[in-house]
Amino acid sequence: MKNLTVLRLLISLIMAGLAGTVSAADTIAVPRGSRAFDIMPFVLPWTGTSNPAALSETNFGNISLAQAGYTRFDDDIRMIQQPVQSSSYHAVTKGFMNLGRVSLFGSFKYSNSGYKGVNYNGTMMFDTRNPYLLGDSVSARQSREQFGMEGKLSYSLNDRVNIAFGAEYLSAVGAKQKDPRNKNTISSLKVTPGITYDLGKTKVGLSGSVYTTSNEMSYKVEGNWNQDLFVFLGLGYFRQEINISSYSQWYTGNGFAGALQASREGDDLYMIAEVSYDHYTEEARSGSSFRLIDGIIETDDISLSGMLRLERGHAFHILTVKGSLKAVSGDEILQRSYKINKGTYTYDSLATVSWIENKQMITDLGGELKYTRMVYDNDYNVDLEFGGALRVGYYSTEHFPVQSYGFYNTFNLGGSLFARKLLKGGRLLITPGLEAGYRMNLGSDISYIVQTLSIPAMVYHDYYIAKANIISASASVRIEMPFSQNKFIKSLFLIPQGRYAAAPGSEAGDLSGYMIDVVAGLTF
Amino acid sequence: MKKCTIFLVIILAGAAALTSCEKGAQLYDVTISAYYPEGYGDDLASDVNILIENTISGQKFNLVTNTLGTAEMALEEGMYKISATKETDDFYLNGITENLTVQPTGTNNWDVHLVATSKEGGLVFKEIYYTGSKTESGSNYYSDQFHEIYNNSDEVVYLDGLCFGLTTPLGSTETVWVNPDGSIMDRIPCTFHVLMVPGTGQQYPLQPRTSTVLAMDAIDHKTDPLGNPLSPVNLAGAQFEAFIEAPGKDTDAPQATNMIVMYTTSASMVDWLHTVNGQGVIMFRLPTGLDWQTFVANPDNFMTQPGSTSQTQYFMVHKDWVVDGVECNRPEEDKRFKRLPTSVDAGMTWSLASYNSKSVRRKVEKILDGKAIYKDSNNSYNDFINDLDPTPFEHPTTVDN
Repeated sequence: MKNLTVLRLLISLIMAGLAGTVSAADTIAVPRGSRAFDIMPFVLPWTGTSNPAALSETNFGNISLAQAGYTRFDDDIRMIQQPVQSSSYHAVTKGFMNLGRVSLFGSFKYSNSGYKGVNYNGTMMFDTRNPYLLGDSVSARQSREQFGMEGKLSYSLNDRVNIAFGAEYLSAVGAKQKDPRNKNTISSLKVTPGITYDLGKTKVGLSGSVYTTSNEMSYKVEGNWNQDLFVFLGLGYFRQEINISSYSQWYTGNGFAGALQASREGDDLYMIAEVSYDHYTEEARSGSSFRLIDGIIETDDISLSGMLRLERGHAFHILTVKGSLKAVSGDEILQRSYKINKGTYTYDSLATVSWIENKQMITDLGGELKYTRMVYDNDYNVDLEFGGALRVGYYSTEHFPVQSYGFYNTFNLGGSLFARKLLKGGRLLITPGLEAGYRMNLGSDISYIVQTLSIPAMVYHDYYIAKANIISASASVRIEMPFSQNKFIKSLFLIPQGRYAAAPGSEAGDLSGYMIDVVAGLTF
Repeated sequence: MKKCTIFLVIILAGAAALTSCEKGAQLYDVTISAYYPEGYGDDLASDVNILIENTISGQKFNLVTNTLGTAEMALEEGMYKISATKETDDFYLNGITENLTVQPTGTNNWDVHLVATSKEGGLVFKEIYYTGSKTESGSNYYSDQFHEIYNNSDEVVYLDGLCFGLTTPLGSTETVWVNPDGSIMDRIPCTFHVLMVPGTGQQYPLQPRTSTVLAMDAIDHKTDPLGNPLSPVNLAGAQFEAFIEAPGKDTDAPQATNMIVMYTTSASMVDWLHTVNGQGVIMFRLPTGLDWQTFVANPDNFMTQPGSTSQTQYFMVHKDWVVDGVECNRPEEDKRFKRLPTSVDAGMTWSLASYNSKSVRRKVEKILDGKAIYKDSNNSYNDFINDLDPTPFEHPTTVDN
């Protein structure tokens, strides 16, 4: 009954927003300053798609941003293979440029992060569905330095056709300074071509991408030769590498994706939708000279997103819908290498001892419906923004045969409300914002068979977190000073924000967590 | 609206196809048949205890064969080992079959053939301490290894001429010392030093229900300046010592009798070393009337490693000469491979780590007149307790479960 009341309240608020006043139609432009980067997908909806040809829509001239900041998380509401604490110094510069028929976008990112309280995961992959993670039980600070670059170029062939090419590259190194110490060399490359065709009121697009990822790990023990590693197989089951002095592991993946986009534009109504498919294969291989496969995961991801924007004078009513289905299957493999000696010559032979298909399977289904009302002032600054969102998620992980191992699944419903208001104080544009959310569990189930090589506490922890009822609140304030006379710097900005979440009475205990983040930068 | 509906249906159909086309790994039926040794009378053996081990996941299942001599179970794909044990009035029956895989298609019929060993008592390895210990500075120390031999019979046994060999291979690979059909050879390859108790025949008696210790170095490792204060053992009272004279680096404890070094595969090794990761060890006697000098002079008693260009000659011991053997193996489940024939040891035992100051000890089966009778079913998996604090010269006064 209580849950139903919350649901009714959320729906009422959304309907109230939809019924807001409307005014005469007027074209709304991308605002000046740092907010341009945030709200561009609402104003120029194609920029919210994965198609790089959408860049040709950015006909607002040149705009760039540079910012630096600090982020800190201290979160008990986390999966067991994620860090308890993380902190990061980061800097970003990015910008758009128009050169006649050519539109360009470029960005460069740097971050220096530290993670504490990481158990059972030396991969530095904290948000992965790959079950074949390598880790140890020695919790110590892990650090990571990362560079990322992205570039897009879109060319307008004529009034109807835009073609584009985008590329992203990431490079990172990470390490732990305590035995057993892991060193990670991480890189990824993604290229994305795209095309859009404008039929007038209707516009269609097609984009695709191919990408590759690599995470080379090397474990070393510099002290006593008595360290053990866990090669996880999913749902807390593992193989053990004991007494290691060194150990190598390589996560290598490649994928491809395709997406279709379509939009329809009316006088004051704009609709856009994108459906995409992504297939990713990642292998976990151990060894340095002969890389023996431990496991292979295949991820199929179907996503759908859509936006309906109704323009009323200086205001938008925006309804967005998102849905995705991720299906992960993991093959568990055991290989060994042998040196074959034939008297006059030797060779190395690789034998596949066991290859069990679909040993670990994960289904992750999620959807979101969000309403936003955005009101502009006469200077095209966002004066008021508020709305709400409903989210639903189903997550299932199974280790087969489930009669011998186990599974768990959770079904959650969440909602959030948010509001931001622009206040002007002299030359300063100050936008405080608040957001509150609640996630509740509607159903869950678990069955777990403890085996010799399993860590049940790990699985139950993750299960309790996945099904926890979580209340959250966040606050932010954007302080921006535009410089209308300055030819180079367009604005300076400072954005501190914080988030607090709690899961009181969860089966994993009374848990809480916070995030603080502050960035300062300039647009030019 | 109609177009939207069609579009939605296509999306949902695609999603359904994505999730329904793959099924998770399944269980498959397996039938296990246990066979008596040839000449036993019956062919298929009923009431045999079957232990199924998934060598990848570590799962274990216990079954008993029915009156037809078979047992059935549903298992997942993977690599398995089955061990069979049965006890009669006169014999221990053991069998082991390795490298079995569950096939998802077709039938899975697995066989295990039993080998009989007499219940008459004799010399057994009571305790083996091979893992070594850590020093205060964190270094590795393995000079405190020992092998303790126990007279499990009612009669005096003379140790003169009793030989000890450590078997090869040592590592985490399967043995290459196999017959063309893949079965383990009848002759067991020994590596490093092969030792023998000296004596003329009746110089070294071992009384019933007593033991003797063969030390790597017969010193009090806890207090000796050359020892390790963190060592768990005092071996100053050991009767026998593996003193390796040739490289000139081994310490000779004068109170202990030095073993005869019959042969070595490595003249540079400074001491007799049971690898800290576990290794098969056998206690054997040469055939009656054959002295050790004559034995080692005969090249037919040696072999090079099959398939290897290495000229190293390994000392070969026929399994029928073995008095007792214990297969100490690696701690990792998926790296344990059988190296000793079933008739010598149908199982294996292991410590959980190297340099952990722990030993493996045979279980006490009975206490008679206050003295222990150790369990010897010819299967060290069932007969031994692993990861105990070493207790040389000591014998429990209660039965181990």
